[in-house]
Amino acid sequence: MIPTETIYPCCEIKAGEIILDGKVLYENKELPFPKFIKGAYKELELNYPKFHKMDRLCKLAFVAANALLNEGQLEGYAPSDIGVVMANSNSTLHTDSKYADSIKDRDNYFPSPAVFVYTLPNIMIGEICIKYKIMGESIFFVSNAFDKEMLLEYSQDMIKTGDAKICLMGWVDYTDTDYHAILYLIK
Amino acid sequence: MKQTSIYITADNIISSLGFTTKANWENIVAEQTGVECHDDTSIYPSPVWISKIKEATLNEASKGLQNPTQYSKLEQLFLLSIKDVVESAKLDMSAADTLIIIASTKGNIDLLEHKNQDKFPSNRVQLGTMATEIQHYFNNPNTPLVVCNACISGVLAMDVAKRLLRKKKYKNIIVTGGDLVSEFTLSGFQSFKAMSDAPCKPYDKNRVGINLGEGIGTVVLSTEKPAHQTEVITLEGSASSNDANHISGPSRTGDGLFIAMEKALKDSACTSDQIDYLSMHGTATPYNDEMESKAVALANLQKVPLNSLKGYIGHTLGAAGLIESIVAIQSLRNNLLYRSLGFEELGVPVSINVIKETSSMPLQKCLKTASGFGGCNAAIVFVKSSNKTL
Repeated sequence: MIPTETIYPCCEIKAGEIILDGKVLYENKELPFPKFIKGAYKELELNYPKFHKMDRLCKLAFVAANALLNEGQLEGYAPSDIGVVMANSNSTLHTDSKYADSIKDRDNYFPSPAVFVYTLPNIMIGEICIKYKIMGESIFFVSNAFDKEMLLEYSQDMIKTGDAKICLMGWVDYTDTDYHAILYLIK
Repeated sequence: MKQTSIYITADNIISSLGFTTKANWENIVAEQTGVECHDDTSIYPSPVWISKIKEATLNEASKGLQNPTQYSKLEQLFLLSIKDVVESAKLDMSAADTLIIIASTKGNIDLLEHKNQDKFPSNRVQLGTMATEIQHYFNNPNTPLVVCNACISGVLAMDVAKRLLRKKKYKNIIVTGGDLVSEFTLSGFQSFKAMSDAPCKPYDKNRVGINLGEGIGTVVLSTEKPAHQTEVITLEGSASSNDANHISGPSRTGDGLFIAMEKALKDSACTSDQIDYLSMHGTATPYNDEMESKAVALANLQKVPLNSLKGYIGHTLGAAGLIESIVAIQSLRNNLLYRSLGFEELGVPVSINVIKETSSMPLQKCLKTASGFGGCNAAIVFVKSSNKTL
């Protein structure tokens, strides 16, 4: 028997579009990222004040995760049974550069804890865990390119070994010139 | 069903205390600290207490590498540490079933600092590019995995290796973790007011914060039993968890870390009363140590002797979990628990058994924990057995 490929719920954000399971949730191809993501926040009625404190990378991850999880998709799962496996290629480079600029001049030296905290990519996972009460296994990988097979295999293995019962998996990358989020809900 | 056994077949530590596990262990047993006050404006505008690898020692050691100047400081340290374990485990790096996993929070972040710009191509600050350089140096056929998960990166990278080895995807995995003391991280932790202006004091009443440190820890994890050791150390189990509470502050209850400890014990088929020793994270910030004491109590491990290595080499970020695990393994091998340096009087709300004097006792099973920004926690269990009984 040839196994058929399982289709998992998926949200992708790129090039001014938010697509959930093939359907366009929000679109605005004209706006630069900060305005685009703010537009999505309003349109999708996220209503989560902490969102405004997040850096761009976290906002991108948060909106994608919200599209997959906001209708009670995690209901019935114990917090410690929900896993998260995420990756990207640029880690937190955009915020790293912003932070490095704030300390380059000794006469104009203003390191900010609110910026520094976003110089770790697993903060994205932390923000999602807080919002959706996720306390299970989680990991952030950095790789040169999106390796969907590897991340899928890793998440499926977490479920197979009983370390998680459901797993949010995917890729969230942000640079000054591009952004791409693609998240799946693996069951 | 009995899980595939995972053996630690070689290890290396590079820190201010030395360039081998042996050198580090001897200094720790002698209660020597590598944390010193550095008054060097090229690192930080004001004097800071940190554990730093001496430039001259690194330059001398790097003569053993091919074309060392092609590599950044952190890359040289990774290469030296991996080279040491490859030689002692006699690993075939060209084998298809050998993988490298790298743990780092900030990688070549010093290249982003103004003074270092233009020394290397700009993409070298990306962890994936750095990993490729390391892979190519050793002619390994597999794309390395990079774990970037704040201060639990080192423990979590071993958890990843465990998963892949149990699936029989690889026979040997080199897990290496490293980070530098950079102006980037120093100013960041200072902005959080998390740094101590004196040697750090984990779990002590007068603790005020961390000392940052730099270093590398590397282990070889293998599904093949080492032939020439009378006693073997195995990675029996591990787990991670999230507090789901705050991105930059630890849980107030310890429940997140407790979940990771409980899962790691279950994964190891161990009960809490079988654990002889706890190697903790113990950063010496007021909230972290308080949280850890609560998690230890929740796990019913309050009586078990515990320590933090931070007083000896500071907080080495992505390397911490690996270095501290290797030192914990030395404790198991030598039946010797080192004093938790900086600790004098208990300053956490729950009574825990912090080791005050370096002392001998029979040891078999150790639980090691880590916690970090983003609310992440991890725990791992190492066990010593006689080679015959396995």
